[in-house]
Amino acid sequence: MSRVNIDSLTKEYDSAGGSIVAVDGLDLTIDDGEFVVFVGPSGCGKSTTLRCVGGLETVTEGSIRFGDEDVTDQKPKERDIAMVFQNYALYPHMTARENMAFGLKMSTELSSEEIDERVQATAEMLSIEELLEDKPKALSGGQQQRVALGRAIVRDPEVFLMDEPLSNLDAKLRAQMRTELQQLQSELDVTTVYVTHDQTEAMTMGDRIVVLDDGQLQQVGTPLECYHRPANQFVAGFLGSPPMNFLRVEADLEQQELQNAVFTLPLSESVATEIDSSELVLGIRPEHIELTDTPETHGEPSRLVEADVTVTEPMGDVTNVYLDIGGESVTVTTDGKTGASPGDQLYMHVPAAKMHLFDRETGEAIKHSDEPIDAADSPTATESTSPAETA
Amino acid sequence: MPHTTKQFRERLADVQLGDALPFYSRLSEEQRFAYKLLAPALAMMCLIHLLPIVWGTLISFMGVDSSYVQEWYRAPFVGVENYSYVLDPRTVVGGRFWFAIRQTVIFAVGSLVVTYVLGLTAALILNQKFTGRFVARTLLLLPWVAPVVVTLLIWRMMFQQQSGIINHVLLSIGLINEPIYWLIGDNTIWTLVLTHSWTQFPLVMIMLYAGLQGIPDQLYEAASIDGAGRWEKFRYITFPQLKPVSAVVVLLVMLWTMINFTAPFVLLGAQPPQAGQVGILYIYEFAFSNYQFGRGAAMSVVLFLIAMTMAMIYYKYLFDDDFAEGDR
Repeated sequence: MSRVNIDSLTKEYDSAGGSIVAVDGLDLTIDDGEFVVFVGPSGCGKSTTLRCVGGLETVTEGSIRFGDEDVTDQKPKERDIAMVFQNYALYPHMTARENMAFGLKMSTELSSEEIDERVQATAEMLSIEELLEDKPKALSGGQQQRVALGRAIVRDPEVFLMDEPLSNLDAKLRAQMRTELQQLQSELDVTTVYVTHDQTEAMTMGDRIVVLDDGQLQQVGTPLECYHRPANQFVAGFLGSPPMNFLRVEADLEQQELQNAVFTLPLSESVATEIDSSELVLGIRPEHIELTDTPETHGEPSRLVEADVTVTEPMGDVTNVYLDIGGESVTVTTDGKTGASPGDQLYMHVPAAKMHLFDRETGEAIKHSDEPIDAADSPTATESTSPAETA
Repeated sequence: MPHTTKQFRERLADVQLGDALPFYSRLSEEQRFAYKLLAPALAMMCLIHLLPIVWGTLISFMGVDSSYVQEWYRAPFVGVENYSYVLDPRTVVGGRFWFAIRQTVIFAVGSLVVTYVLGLTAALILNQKFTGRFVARTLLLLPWVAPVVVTLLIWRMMFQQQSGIINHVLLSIGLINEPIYWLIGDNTIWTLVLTHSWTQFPLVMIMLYAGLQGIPDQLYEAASIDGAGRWEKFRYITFPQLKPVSAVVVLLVMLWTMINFTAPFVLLGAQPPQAGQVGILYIYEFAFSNYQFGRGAAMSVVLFLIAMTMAMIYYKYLFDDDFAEGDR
């Protein structure tokens, strides 16, 4: 176990038209025993970063340290890491047992009895003792996954690296493995770097998540921090399903309101003082919008916006209602009993406290929702790397 | 003339093969169509391969010698007499035949080892990323693409005891003190092995190279993480992963070498030194210079059976050992 320090890591690839920057000056410290999830769209540099940490890619600039040891130029075998690959990368010609024993055989001086013991213990932990004599070909995807995991765990490494390990599994198995992996990680207490493009995995598994886009760090924080206090519009739009709604608005600071061709929303004074640009994007999560068909009786009529229902998506527990506001689409998640149907005209309530505002040009967050982001339910206590203040 | 595939199919469907081939009636429509399409090629195969095998086997039981060259079918049936004659190590012919078989096995196994090692080395080099890789690949294929007789004649010149460049080079760098006789005496079998391997290794190289390209990079990455070095990666990943293609290559090279006529004939001539007289060359010399076709045919059948037996033992061993285990 050790702390991982990534210091202004840059990775460039040569290509025909010059070089491609895959990772651009990434700084990150991962605490001992922490479970950190790298998340972002394809090509955001998350896998490249992981591979740099694993020593599978050379680093163009910057350094990587495990504890006090600089491992930047070390070969993978010198780093005491274990990795789980997306398609498992089990050795096809070896049995599950041989697959698991291989790393110990290569990197330790253990006797074959000791190796056998450790493989057996790990197999029991993962309940794959029955599969030990089978070759990968004879195993199902989920079983291969477990063997791959076992191959990593048996090494008892300083750092676990996992490159989208669940993405080849079917949905049900993925959900099951998700919780199992979390349990395992907290039991083993090994520093873990986990790469995924799946925001559900990111939200549910990590102690902290690292959101990357285009090779650059967007935000580091606990899942709820990133969800409720997104540093910028990218993070806000990337996390959450259905994603956050974005509406282009202009701020009229004299009138203290947000305007757009279709609606006007009042702006509180405290927020207005934060704003230094009039070109803004209003963000609001689907679950934070309320729908009403009786605007007359609503307690805050000034914050109601008229909208037409275009599509409804009943999911059972909730229903996603898609609305049209002057040509822009807005998604609202309501409870499953909603009576809305396409063609209806409704009013949506945009609560000031739940509203996010972003600078349209830079994408930087100006105002956040006031949702609590830690277990203690206090909205402000957690330290966030987000540059924006909470409103 | 049928103009469309449909018409062609209908026309073919009229062809009645069912009477001639009893198994034919059990085949599906699709398979029947396939067999009809295969028929011309199969006919050629029968003419070129099957017919001589049957004919040769037939002759091996008959006393075909110089007096029956014109009308072989009039020769008397002699049972296994030809076989007992050529297989008896106490006779001159039998003794020389067994020696030739021994040399054939040395030729086959020696060529196999040299070809495989050369081919694998070349394939591993080609599999590295370096500039000029494509040029290198073309150059390495040349020995196989070039007309084999030309290649062999050039080797023969190079192996000359007095004027050959090989002795010249070996002498000048001090590896040998006096010129070696490559083309006469006991060395000839090794000259054969080297020369034949030279013409065959590019095929092995290209097949193993294709095999190497099929090994997923992630296996090497996983092995790096697991702490394997270069040698361990070769030993535990590359080599096992090449097993299926290696199996095919080994069998092909071995069989092709056992029945190879061109290399020994061009290199050593029709009357080679005894060490270089491999089975096929001895059979040729014996049968055609002495007009002993019945006995020659018997030797051919023996060589054929030895090659087949080796192939079958090899395959049995291979399948027992799970042929598919190198599969991905």
